[in-house]
This record gives sequence, structure tokens and C-alpha cells, in this order.
Amino acid sequence: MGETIDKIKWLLTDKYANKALEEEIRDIEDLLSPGVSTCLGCGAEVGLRIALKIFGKNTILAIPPGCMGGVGVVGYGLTTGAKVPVFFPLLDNIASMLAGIKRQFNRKGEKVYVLAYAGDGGTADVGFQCLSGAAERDENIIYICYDNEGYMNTGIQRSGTTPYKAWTTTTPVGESRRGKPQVSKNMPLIMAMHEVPYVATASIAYLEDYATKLKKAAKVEDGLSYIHLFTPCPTGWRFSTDKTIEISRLAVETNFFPLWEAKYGKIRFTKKIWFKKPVKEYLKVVGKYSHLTEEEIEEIQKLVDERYDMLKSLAR
Amino acid sequence: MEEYLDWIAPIGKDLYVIRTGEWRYQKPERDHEKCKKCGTCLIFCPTGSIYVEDERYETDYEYCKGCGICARECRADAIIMVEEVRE
Amino acid sequence: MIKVVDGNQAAAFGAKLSKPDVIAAYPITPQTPLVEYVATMVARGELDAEMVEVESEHSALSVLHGAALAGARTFTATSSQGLSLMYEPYFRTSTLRLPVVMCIVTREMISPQSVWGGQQDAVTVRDAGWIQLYVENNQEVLDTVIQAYRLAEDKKVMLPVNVCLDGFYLSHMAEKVEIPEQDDVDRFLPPLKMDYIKLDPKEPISVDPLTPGGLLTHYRKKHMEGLENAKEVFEAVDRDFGEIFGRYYHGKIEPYRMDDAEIALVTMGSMSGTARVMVDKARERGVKVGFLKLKMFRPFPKEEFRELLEGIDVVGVIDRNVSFGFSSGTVFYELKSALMGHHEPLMASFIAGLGGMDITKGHVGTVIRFLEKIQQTKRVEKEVIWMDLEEEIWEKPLTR
Repeated sequence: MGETIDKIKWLLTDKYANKALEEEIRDIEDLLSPGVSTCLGCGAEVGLRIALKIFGKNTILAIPPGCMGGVGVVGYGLTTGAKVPVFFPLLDNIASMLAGIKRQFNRKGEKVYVLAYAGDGGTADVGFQCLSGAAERDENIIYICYDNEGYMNTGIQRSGTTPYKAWTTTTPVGESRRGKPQVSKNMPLIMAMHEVPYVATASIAYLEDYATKLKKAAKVEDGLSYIHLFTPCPTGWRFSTDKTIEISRLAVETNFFPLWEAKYGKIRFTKKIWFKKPVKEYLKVVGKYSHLTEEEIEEIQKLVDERYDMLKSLAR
Repeated sequence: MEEYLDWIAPIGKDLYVIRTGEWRYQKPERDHEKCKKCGTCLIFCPTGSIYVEDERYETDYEYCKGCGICARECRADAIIMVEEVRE
Repeated sequence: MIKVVDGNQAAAFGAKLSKPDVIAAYPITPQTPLVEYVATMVARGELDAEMVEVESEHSALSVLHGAALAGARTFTATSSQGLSLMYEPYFRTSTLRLPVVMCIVTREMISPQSVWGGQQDAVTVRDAGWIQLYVENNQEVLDTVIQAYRLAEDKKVMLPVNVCLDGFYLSHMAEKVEIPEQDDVDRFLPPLKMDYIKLDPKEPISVDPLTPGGLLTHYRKKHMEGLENAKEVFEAVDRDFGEIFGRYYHGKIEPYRMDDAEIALVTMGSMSGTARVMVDKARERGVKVGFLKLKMFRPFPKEEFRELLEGIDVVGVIDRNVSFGFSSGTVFYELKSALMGHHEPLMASFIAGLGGMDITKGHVGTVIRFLEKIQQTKRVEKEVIWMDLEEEIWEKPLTR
């Protein structure tokens, strides 16, 4: 009985979920330049604009090399791409540089949000060491990883978070190789296992959930908060530019990218999927999986189920 | 001395803005009759180009790149993408 | 207050007296005790600073980037492999014009595997835009750290400074050192003001936007001007320091018994103490020899060298490093190119003290004999001499 009510509630709230958020953020000044040269339908841009609206002007923003840096968020020449202080950390020192800023502001007794908006390469691969170090040292920084599953700015190369079998320019599909041979690094779970105050996954299709998580991250004062944001990339994933949100939603509905949060390592799902869809529905609309055979799709389904079950076993 | 300190290190001050509307090959057109004012298009617009004026949702064509997300996400089918025709 | 301290501790005292806001460091031999000393000072409440015990040297310098952009006075220290791991943020520290002070407790670069002394680490990063100061003894370690902040934060300079002290020879050897009074240091070193580059929500700007080549060229030129300014500023800093603390180090290059010299030695770092003794001994024999202790290796004091070596017959440079690709010691070839087109003495390069080998009185004595021979024969038979490989020297180095 309780479950049925929950289902109905979910159906209703999901339908109107956006309205509350829309009313909240609509009149807040956009702190990003209105014209930055992101690709059409860029998922990462959605996530950045919302994040800046939630955090507001008292924020220092790190934009490491990657898509958001390349499109001009840090500006060009003598200009800036944002209305908050913004800088280019190195690709591999994002968390360290932020920690240094935060320490000095703490010392001055001034409160400020120090926020990274970093791609998956700078987070899960080359910048991982310093992020892990900052997490362990309880540096009070907010780290958002926009995961477009590869090095998109340099032209769609595989990264640690590129999923199994996905096509990229460095994991091409041919007679002897069929996309990436390895499974993706489970970055949000790795961060949760650092037992930092707050870790969450988020999706640009569920912006209200994302906004709630941003607000929770903003409240953290005793350590690091990390949000792993799923941001499909029309250019790199090979789908038409209008499908970015739809694909993000499908990733959640198929459990390919479940939404959860973890406080000090204790995991809790934030979005229960009542009508789980087969992962095939997600894979068939994303061009980077267009080479998959039925067997391969089944194999991925199995991997998705296993990863979800593992997560479930950890969740409260 | 003050002069020497000006621009000794790379910083940016003025806002960097590209007129991304010029990229558009298709543009969203809105049927205000059908619009249910749910705000879905506004929150999902990557370029932040949708705004509300006199309780009507409008698109800022200066920056709208014409990706089509608003049309696809609209639950009321109030937005359609039409070919951009330029002089 | 007089204390007996090793070089690492002297550096820690220098840092403490300079009142840094943020310190980040990662332990590496032979710098490790320095980190421990600083951490202890913070733990005891003697030093009021944010101490960040980072997970790598790369992060150590990166934390300081962030802190400096937020307006902090910063300190770190490293050696050898740590410095090379830092190279990415290292270059950027100078090109962002951040006045960081970093001690390099110099050590060999591997391979071969080595943890012992040598200046290869610091010398190898010479063209990354920092100021580099090399010191002779532990008193100079402490004093130069304080001076380094004044130099780095001078409005005409605004560049990071390395204080390079020889690993083990200074870092682990205890000497009598006078610890300055805090009031005097405060008088000498005003608080840092960063306003040309910063991250502050009250004044939002971007730091390091994508920069087209023409503008980048402008920044490069400004950077070089800053380095050139450092030459003049350092002389003033050293003189001011002398007035307040009673110790004057003769700025960029310290000449010793050079007035009537015909032969000159050039040294850098702790070997200068040995050179002092051996020059005195050679003088007893009637050899007109003096030496120049090079303190400021970057920017390279070309003009001063030209002036100081005017009319000198023979110059010998002892390098505790090598320049791969130029096949001599590094200071040797830099000095040679600086003298090109001016008075050009006969020159020889002596490579010694690599991988923790001592530069003994015997070594320096032998170098002086070599130079005497060059003066007599007026020709340089062998331009580069590997002191620890020449059998003749190896067997019986000349201590007189």
C-alpha cells in the first residue's frame, strides 16, 4: 500500500518537479557569460549555469582545461567568461589549488565557496591523486565532476570513466577491437569510500535533485563535497543535439547511472526507479554504442545490474 | 610603479561574450496558446536563453544556438523547430 | 639569540620569522627535517600558519598557487625528484608572478639512484623563470630566506624565489647561527600586498584566461623585465639587511681577494667555504688568486661578472652539476657566454662533488694548480676536468 502511494507520488512529483526549481532560479542572475562556445545541446553547460545560480556571487570557480575551459568560461585575452572570480587550475592540481584558496580565506576569516567544475579526465584520471589527497585531508572544497565519459575537448578520447564497449577516437571499432575493452572507473563510489561529508551522483535530467544536492554540498563545513554529474555530449557520443536531456533521463531510468548520495560514506538512493527500463533503450539512442550486437548489449545489461546490486548492498 | 604592475600577469576583466545566436540553423518557435508555463524549457536550456516577460516564455535569439532541447522536452508540444532563414 | 642549528632548521627559522600564511610541503631526503621543524613550530603555536600536509610535491606548490592567489605569503621546500615532480606548477608559479619562496635542499637527480648531494636538481630548472639564490652556510640560509621574501614581493619584481642550500653539506650539518629578533624582521619585511592578480569575490576577475600569442609575448617580456629588476633590487635588499642585522653578503656575487687577482675561481654554494681557505693558502704561496661566490644564479649577473673579471687571465669554474648537451658544468658555460664579446679570459670547467662526493681542500687546491698551469702556458689543454675521475687527482689531491 505504502509502495503504491510512493509510486503515485513519484509520478506526480516527477511531472511537476521542474516547476519549483524554475520558480526558484528563474530570476537569479546568470553568472556565466551568455555566449560561450559550447557545442549545441551541451550537457555540461546546463549543469554549470544551475550550479552558479545555486552558489551565487560569493564563489570562486575553478575551470580546469577541458570543455568548459576551452569554450571561454575563464575568458580569452583580457576578458573573463564568468561574473565570479574564475581561474584555470592545471588539469592535475584542481583540488590542491582550491584547497590553498580555501585555507587562506579561512585564515582571513572570510566565508567563500570554492568550487571546481571539472571534467572526468581531470577528476578520475590525471587529477585523481590530488583530489583523493584533498578528500583525505578534509579540505573544505566543493568539487563537481561533469562526466561526459571521455576527453571531449581534445576530440573524444577515452578516459577512465568511458564505459565498457563505448566508441571513442582512441577506442575505435574495428575487426579486432570493439570500443573500450574495460569497464568505467566507478568514480563517485570511490569518492564515497573516502568517507567525506558529502558525495552524490546527479543528472542534468533531474535538475531538482541536482539542485538539492548542490545545496547540501554548500552546507558542508567539515570537509570535501563531491558531486558526480552525468552530462551527455552530443558531439562525442553521436546523438542529435536535442536529445541531451532525454538521454540523461534514460541513463537514470535504466540504472545505467543511478542517483544516490553518501554522507560520510553512508549511501542512500535519492531517486527510486519504479519502472526500470532495459539498458538497451539507453544504448540504442546513443551513437557511440551503435556497433553493439545483441550479445554485447546483454553483457552490458549484466554489468549494469551487477554494479547496481553492489551499490544496493552498500546503501541503507 | 603602478603602471609596471598593470598587466604583469594574465588576468581578464571584461565579460567575454560570443553572439552564439549566429550559429543557428534552426530556431525554436513557441505557440503561446499551447504553453503550460511549466518552465521545463527554461531550466534545461543550455545557453540560458529562455526568459519570462509578461508571464510569457520567450527565447533570446541573440544567444540561442538552436539545439532543440526546449522543443523536445516541452510537455505541451508548444515549441517547434523551424529552419532559420537569414537575409 | 645564538643557536647551533643545521641548515634545514635554519631555513625553518627563516621561514617562521617571515610569517608565512600558508605552508605546504611533502617530505623528501634531504629536505625532510625542514618539514618536520616547520610542522613542529606550527604545532607548538610558535608559528601561526596554515600547514597543509599534502600528498605530493606537485600538490605542495599547487596549494601555494591557490593560497597566493587568495593573497597569502607562502613557503615550501623540496629536493631533487620532488622538484622535478613539481615542474608543472613550478613553471607556472613564475609565469603567474606569484611571490612564493621555496627552499631547494639540493640533491642529485636520479638515475643512478642516489639520495646524496649535488646541485643538479635546482640547476636543471634554471630557465623556468624563478629567481635562484645559492648559499654558503647556515647563517646565510636563514638570512637569505628572509631576504628572499623582500625580493620576491618587491613591486618591481613579483617573482618566486628559490633559496638553494646544499643537501647534507648544509642541511644536515650544524653550525652556530644567530637567530634574528622578530621585531627587526618585521621592520625589514613589510606585509605582502597582492593586487595585480588575485581571486576575490569582491572583485571578480579571471586568472589565466586563454591568451593569444601576441599578449603572451607581452607577459613574457614583462616577466623578463621583472627578473632584470631583481638584480638591482637584490643589491638594495642585501644592503638594507646588512644595516639592520649587521650581516652583508655582497649581493649577487661576493668577491674574495679579487683586488689584484690574475686567476679567479667561481663557486656556488657550500663549496665556497673550502675555496676561501684554499685561496688563502695559495696566496701564501704568492699566487695571485681570488674567487667569486655566485649567489644569484638566476637572473644570471652577466654585467657584474664582466666587470669583476675584467683583466683576469684565467677563470676556473667548479660546478656541482653538469650541463647535458653542452658537455661542461652549467655555471661554466653560462659564464663563458656572458663574457663573449667582452674581456675573454682563458677558462676551464671543473666538475666535482656529484652524488654526495666531497669537494675537499684537495680538490680546490688542485683546481688552483690547474689554473696556474693554464696561466703559465697560456693555453687550455683540457676544457672540462672531471675532478673525481682524473686518476692523478684522485690519487693525491693537492691540499696546499
